[in-house]
Amino acid sequence: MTQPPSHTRDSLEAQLLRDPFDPGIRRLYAEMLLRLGEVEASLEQWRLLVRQSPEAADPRIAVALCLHRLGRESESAEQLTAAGSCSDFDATDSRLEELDPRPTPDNPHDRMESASPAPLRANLRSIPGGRTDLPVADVVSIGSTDVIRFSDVVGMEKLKKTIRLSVIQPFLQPGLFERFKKKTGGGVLLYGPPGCGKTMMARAIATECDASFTAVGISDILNLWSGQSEQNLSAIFEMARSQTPAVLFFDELDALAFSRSKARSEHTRTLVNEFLNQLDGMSGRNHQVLVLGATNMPWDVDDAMKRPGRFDRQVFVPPPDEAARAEMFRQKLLGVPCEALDFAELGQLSRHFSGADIDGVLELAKETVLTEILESDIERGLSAADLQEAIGESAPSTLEWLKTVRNVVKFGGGGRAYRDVEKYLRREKMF
Amino acid sequence: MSTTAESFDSVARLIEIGRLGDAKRLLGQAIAHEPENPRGELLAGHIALLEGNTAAAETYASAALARDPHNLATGELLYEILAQQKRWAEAERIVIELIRAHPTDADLFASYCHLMLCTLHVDKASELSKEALRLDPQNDRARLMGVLVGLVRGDASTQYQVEKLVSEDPESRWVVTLLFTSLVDQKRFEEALRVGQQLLRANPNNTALTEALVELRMQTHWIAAPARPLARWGWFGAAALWVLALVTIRLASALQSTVALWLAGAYLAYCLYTWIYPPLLRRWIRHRGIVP
Repeated sequence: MTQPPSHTRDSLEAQLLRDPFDPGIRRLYAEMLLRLGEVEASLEQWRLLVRQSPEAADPRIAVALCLHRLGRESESAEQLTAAGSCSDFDATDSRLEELDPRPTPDNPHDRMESASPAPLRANLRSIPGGRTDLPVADVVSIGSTDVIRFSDVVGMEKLKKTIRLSVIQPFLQPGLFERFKKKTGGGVLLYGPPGCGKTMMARAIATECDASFTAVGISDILNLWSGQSEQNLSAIFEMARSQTPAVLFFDELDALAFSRSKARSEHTRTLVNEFLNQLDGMSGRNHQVLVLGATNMPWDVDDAMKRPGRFDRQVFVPPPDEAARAEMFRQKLLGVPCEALDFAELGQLSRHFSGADIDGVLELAKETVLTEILESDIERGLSAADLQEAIGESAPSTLEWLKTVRNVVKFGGGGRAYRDVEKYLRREKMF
Repeated sequence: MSTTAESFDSVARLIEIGRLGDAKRLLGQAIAHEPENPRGELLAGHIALLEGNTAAAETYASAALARDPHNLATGELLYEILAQQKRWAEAERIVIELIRAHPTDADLFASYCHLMLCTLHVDKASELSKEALRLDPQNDRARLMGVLVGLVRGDASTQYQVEKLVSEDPESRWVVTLLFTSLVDQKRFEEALRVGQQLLRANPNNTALTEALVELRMQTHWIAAPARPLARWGWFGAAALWVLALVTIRLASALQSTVALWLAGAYLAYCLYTWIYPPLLRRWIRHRGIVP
């Protein structure tokens, strides 16, 4: 594509100032910069185009080309494989000749390989002070393991809508939000009872943001505690920054950012201070890293973590509602021998059950049926009675959490952070 | 691969942040590697104590002491277990033994002071807190005990000490707890309620604190306003009110009997009110919550 003779650099810049969301003009501008040898500036423009059209191969190829010219080969290869997985990838694109190896559209796993844990681990090693023995099991790219999208998360439609508006779209289209002077940036803290899908939601957010995903779980935190904790934490942030756009997810955030007012050891305080420094530094240095945290115990997370620019958006992930529970039963029983089941009724009976509790119910029901089959030699499927009995024998694990949080809301003046919880408790007549 | 010592350190930190399940799992692995290490039993004792299983905690602490009789941390754990079970005499014996072995440890003097406060030996507690503060003027526990002794004795300087602690470390949980206690002691219920709510937000499982907040809310509720003199001055207030009512009614009856009748009725209504409103209001607050 060539630049029409009527367009000059000044005119393109002026047009972009008037309408920053015109992809045609931005493309022309990016191409012009590339021709002029301003590769870094061109890269910025192409990256914006990738954000505007994450499913398109063309801007990704251009990003790969810019990175190649800048000598950033691994990132270039990553972008190229990402382009290869797009539906409109054109293998005859002339720009590909400059890039090698060439991915094929019918091999989307190229992307997975490029972003597999091995290079992430290598990146971590290359960072000064980075530990080489950090567990990599939880440090994964969303391309390389189960890709979870919002559509895979059962129910929680209102929550998904809120997250899309307040987290994903500001990340994908920062310009649009800036134009409306809507505050963006900062981290997001997902909190709620255990087993209700916080981690799954975080993975889905990463997928929807089309970003690499680095998850730091409790096992990583245990490793962080040994040796130079602050350097290890810093290395994790540096790794995320080197792989933008990136989502950095801290599961069990309370373990890493434990309230300093409750902590006795100096070590805990120092680590929290470093975490705060990283969060603050990051907002100034890199806008393409989204930090997510999840916790069952938001009251144990240091208050400073919840201040603006850090985890200032706190999202309550409630137990699944009745319809979601019914859908869970339906999905989890796909392919399992069953008699005719009324999923709506199961959803109704399993009040307050989390996704994990429903797994437990199903396991219990299956055990009962299998024991019966082995004893009687008569094969049969799961019946409604089996499931109802299993529900009756199980207790929802969310109740304890809900009772605890009720104390905060009802007697502790929970405030803005717990407003959603209060609404939920009132709706469920638990207040 | 982390060493067993590192694993024990991690267990200690998991205990500190209250993740007892994770701590137990990791401790099991660490003990499997080094079953002879008394630190394993010490940490197991701490976990058991936090889980409320004092019998198991005592068993672990005793086993750890058998392996390493001079270990200070194990001795402190055993003291804590005994104190929690209100076995004061045994706890005192342990803490005295520990002080003999470590005569410059301010924490131990603070622990002994706490024990003396619990058993209402205020003078001895006061001397012990002074000694703890002499040994280490910056020791948190020693300062806490100093203020608590002051509160119990009703020392005028305690308020200044509390303010000093709050200004130095306003976010520390023990300082906030101390402030809460001090405010309640001064009958500054509105402020105590706000501080208490802050504490509850950080420790939502604390049922005793929840109850205390309900009681405080009762004191600050508008319905309780007529009874505030009684809440403020206790039995003295009640006696004064009774005398005042008696004198007023007598005077009124001497002047005009209808007025005296009204006054007597009002006094009876007030008595009835002070008798009826607390349980009703308490139930209402428990049902409704503490609304700002």
